[in-house]
Amino acid sequence: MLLRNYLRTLPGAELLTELDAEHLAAAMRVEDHPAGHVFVYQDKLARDLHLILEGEVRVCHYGPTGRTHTLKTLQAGEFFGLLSLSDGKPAVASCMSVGPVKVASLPFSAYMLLYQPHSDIGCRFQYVLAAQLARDLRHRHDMLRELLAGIYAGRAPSAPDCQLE
Amino acid sequence: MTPLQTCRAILADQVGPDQVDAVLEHGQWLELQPGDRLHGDQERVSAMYLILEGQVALSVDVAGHTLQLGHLDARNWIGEVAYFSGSYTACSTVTARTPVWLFRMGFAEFSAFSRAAPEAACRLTHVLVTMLIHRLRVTAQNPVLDADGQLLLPVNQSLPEAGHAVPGQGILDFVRHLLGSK
Repeated sequence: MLLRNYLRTLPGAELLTELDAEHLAAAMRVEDHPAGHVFVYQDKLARDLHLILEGEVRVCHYGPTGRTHTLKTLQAGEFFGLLSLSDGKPAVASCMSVGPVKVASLPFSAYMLLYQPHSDIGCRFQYVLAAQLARDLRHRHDMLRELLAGIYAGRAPSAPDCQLE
Repeated sequence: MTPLQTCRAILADQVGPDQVDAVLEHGQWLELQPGDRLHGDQERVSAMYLILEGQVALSVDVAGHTLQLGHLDARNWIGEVAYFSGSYTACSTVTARTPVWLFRMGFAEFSAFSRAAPEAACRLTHVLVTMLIHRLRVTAQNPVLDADGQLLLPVNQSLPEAGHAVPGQGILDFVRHLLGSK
């Protein structure tokens, strides 16, 4: 799979040019990781923007009740690490591979050039960011709906525990 | 201030004074009274809205039960999740808490605006991105039961004031402007 071609198939990437995708792919490093690899730690700053190429990554939140639960299981084609990189605050959740994964990672310095809309490529990349964040927020509301249904039906919330070490 | 003046002032911060007219060409005004519902959770929607004045409450609903998700104040947008996720369905119920003035931009109009004024659309999308980031942060915590037994997330989903404007770049911006590039 050619990363530059794959990038242009992602939601919101319709406006990226071939050259944009080439530059973006050149700035990313592709690595394989085993199951249980932690990419982002809750309450610490994220260092890279990650894109899943193969496999799954679980997003785990440690809440005030002392329980760690799964916020979302990310699939190939999804970005993570966005929140902490964008606002410079510690991550709200940890991100860990479920099984073996192949991930493309973009360093913080390169990400900041894309996050600000002052360049042509940054401008077009805003739509990629918006598409990922909108899907994340939609999923968050789905989880809250499930939680609500579970509480009023008298059953435990369905969000599984994270096996986070 | 009239709704038009308010809208101009907010959009000047969000897309820059020179791009305000490009946005205004693609929208209309809408007024809500307290208790009016803009749209229901998971209903089909076709527009995004900028709150000019007033406050709206957000909630998700399941089988007659409601989880309050806090509120949104003036200067914030509604409906961008439906557009950017490609689902075109609302992810919450939006109800006016006070008299509310809105600027309505249909999804088709937003797409047309993106083609007609890509620089302004990109700046506006950046503002929407910062709002989405803020909402994801504040909704990560667990909901609680209030004294009346109502389930709620005690959060303000409004983006703090400083996050609304696209950051300027000082001297760098000036030099780019001189050279005629973005």
